Amino acid sequence: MSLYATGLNAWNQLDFTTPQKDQEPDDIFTFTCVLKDKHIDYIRPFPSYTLVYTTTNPLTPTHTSGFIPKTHQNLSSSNPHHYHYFAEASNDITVIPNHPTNPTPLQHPSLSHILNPPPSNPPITYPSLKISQLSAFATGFIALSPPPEPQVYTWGDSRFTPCLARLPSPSHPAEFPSPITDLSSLPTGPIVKIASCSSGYLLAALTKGNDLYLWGHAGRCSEWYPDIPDTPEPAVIGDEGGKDVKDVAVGQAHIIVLTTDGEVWGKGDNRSGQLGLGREVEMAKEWTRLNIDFGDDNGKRKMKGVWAGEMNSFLIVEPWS
Amino acid sequence: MEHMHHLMGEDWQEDAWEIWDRARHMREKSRRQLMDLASEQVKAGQIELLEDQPGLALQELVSFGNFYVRHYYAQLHFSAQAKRGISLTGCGEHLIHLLTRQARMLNTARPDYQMIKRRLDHIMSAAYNRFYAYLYKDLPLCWRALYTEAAILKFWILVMEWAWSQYPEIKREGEKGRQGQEWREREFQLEKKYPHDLQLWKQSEADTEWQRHHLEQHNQQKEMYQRHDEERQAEQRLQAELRPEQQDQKRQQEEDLLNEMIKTLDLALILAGGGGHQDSINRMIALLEEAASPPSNANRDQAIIKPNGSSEQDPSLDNREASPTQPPRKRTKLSLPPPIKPEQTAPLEPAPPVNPSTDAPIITTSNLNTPHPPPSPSPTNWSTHPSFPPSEPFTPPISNPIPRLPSPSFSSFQSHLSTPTPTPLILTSLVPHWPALTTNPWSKPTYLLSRTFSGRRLVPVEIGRSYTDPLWSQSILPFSSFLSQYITTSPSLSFPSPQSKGYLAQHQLFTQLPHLRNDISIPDLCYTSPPRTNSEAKELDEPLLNAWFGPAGTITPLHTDPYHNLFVQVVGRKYIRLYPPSTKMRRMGREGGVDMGNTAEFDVGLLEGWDEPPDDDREKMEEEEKREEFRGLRYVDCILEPGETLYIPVGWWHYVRGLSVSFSVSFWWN
Repeated sequence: MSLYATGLNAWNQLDFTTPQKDQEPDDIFTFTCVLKDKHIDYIRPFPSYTLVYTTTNPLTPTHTSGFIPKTHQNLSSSNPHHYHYFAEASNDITVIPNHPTNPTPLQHPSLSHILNPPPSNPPITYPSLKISQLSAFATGFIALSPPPEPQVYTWGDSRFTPCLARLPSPSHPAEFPSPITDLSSLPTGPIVKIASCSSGYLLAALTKGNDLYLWGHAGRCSEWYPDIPDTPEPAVIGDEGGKDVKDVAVGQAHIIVLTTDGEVWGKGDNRSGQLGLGREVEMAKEWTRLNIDFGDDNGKRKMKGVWAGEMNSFLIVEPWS
Repeated sequence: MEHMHHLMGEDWQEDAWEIWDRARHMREKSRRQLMDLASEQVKAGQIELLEDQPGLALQELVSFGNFYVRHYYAQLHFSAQAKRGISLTGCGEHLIHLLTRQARMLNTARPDYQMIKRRLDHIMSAAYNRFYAYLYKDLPLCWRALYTEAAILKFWILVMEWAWSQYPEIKREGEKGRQGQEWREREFQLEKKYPHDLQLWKQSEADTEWQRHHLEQHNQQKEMYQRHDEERQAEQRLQAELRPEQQDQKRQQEEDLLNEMIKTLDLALILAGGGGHQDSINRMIALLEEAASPPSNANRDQAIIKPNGSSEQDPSLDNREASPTQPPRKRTKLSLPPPIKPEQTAPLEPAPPVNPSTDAPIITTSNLNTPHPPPSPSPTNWSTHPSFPPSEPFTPPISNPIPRLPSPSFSSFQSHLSTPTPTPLILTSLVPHWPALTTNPWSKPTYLLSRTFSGRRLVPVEIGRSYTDPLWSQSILPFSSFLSQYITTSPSLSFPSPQSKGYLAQHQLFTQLPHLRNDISIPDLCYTSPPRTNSEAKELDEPLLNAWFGPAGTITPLHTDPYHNLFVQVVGRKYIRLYPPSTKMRRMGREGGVDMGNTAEFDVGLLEGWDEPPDDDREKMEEEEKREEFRGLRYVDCILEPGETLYIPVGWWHYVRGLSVSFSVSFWWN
């Protein structure tokens, strides 16, 4: 299987070769195969490093690239489960969802607070919330509750209400998890995937029937997504009513989707090469099909999914068997 | 590397500036001595003046740039744990790591400047992202410091690029210095030898050593200029051959670069509050302004001498190769050092005698006739320059005038403050001697431009009628654009759209532009101690200064502040209406997640019928009810004239409306 990547590489986070070169790494401006392995199931892109995993061993990445900050290393060694599930927003607030060794979602004011919570300032708990997927945006969080009736919850800073996709009220304040009613009982089934970037203001949710819903804070997204709605609306990608979407990933100022017919589309900033559109294209303000040179993988192949870091994009490709 | 900790101390930038100041002083001193010799030779007709030559200020700017990036890296590298004014610790270890790497790259032989700029931009953008993600009051200081430090490094790259575009030999000098690392090593050795910071620099031993060191550098520089003399002439010939449009293009590129430099630092001041490096940034901008002074000034302040043919007459001049039949080869340089401010001039021993035969080619002095120029250019008589137009499209009536008195004594003002409910007062002669009102008139656009780097400095501007309107926004633009787009256009002729109102409001302009700060002074009355109120505002150590500059028709909606306020009118007139703190005021709630509770729901201009409503879908019923309620409230009001000061007691609701082009300064204290 192959991992393709493009975009910001300031910390060598797209370079899995060892030893890494000493010189200052340049960014990658077109999708390039950066790693081949027997199994690559999913990745976790952080701002300065990338972790590559197989589903059989979720707690230990099989490959690591880039620069891992000490706070992350410390959390990883002191509580590998927390490390595997946490989400950190730009205002440092960090949430650990419920997971096999943690019954209740916890919210800490910062990542380092997890390691040393002072007794006077314990984490906030959300006992009634069950989380199956969690993602941070710049000033808050989006979570998906597990089946049978999955619901999308948001919470965060009320200055950026459009990101919440719900109107805060005294009974449902912005700062506490509340469901987005606009995203329940949709024509193409429940939400199965959510996406956001920990330093961005655009959020995405994908239905079982492959409809992609997008929304965000216009003031903070208009530069790269001029018509971003402030409540969830289906995105139309390509002609004739739009493509069915299989997977979605959101960066700080770009979005990338994989369609059910195996195409990759993107929109937004390309100044760091995050859409793989080369050095000349600064921005794609319309949905743009991304042509990827798969080289050796050009024969029979299928695309497993897309991921996005703040300013880079990833694609896992497996040979057709 | 322990010595680095000592050298850098708590605020290494201050130390760096001080070390550099001393070096600059030494350079200027020896240049001046050389110049004295040279001027004799000019008089004797042995050399003549040439006119193209890197300005001394530019050389100094580049020299400090090199000095800065070197010390910055040393600081990051050797004393990352050292205590500093504002620590970067806590804001993104990966970003600090990236910044450190860029600082290291800048100290290598051939750095990829474009790449480094891109990385620095990334760091600034990551920090800037946090400015939004946090409420400004909760933003950890380290993010402001990180933004600023990346901005300063970027600024120095731009300085180098700007200098190279004008004088290619400067690049060679920089590269040579880095490649050889000789002079860098020497300087580090010096630092190692005097670990106890700057105290030792003041000892004569250190001075002598520094001078010796400086002279070596000086000689190297001279050799460098000699070596590249011919190349430079070739370059100049090429320049001369450039077609006019190419020259225009080159000028435009240089101007763009200059604007980008200013923007980089101004954004660090405006967005990041200077990140703890405000003084440093102010000095960098001052140096840049010196270096970028227009050619007319440059010609006056600098000149170049070249041997005047008959070289044999004076063997002390380095013109051995010049002969009457050859065109003069050596361009002996004579730049005039910019004036040294008195406070920068540390008392120093005289520089050792300089051998003119080695130094003549790069001598500099301020002025052939007056080697010690006055610290500032001769005062301009601004009275002949045009003022802002006095036109007032609309003048509201005064219903309940506020009492006027000339200027109360400190003690009588103190007792006024101490009454249970102090009332507003107009002080007609509190600030009559402010330069802003007299010798340095803020009423003259040309004066303001001269104090803002020819209008290039950036200022934050509020666009729209009132911050309570839906289409209100903020923008950062060059002062000259602000003047031309919003102030000197005549809005009175037609009904301007609300978006045509631009207001430089509540901005700490005076920490950003110290030039203007010197035109005003804090009234003594701000040092009275009013009784503590139970407000949440923290106690101020110093009065808070804000600038309010805009065209006719700017509005600050009815609101209260947690401070006492002396509001000084400098240019034009403003209408101000005040309601006592006891007023039953309708307050705004939370808007867009921001508590607007200090702003009243009453829009004075709308309810009085002075303004058109911004949109027409307002509920009539509610308006009528509101109008009734509003009419029942008691208030006092005034039109504040230039030179007058309004005292606004803490808690009083106030509505402020610019009647003409108007510039005011408020002083908050508690």
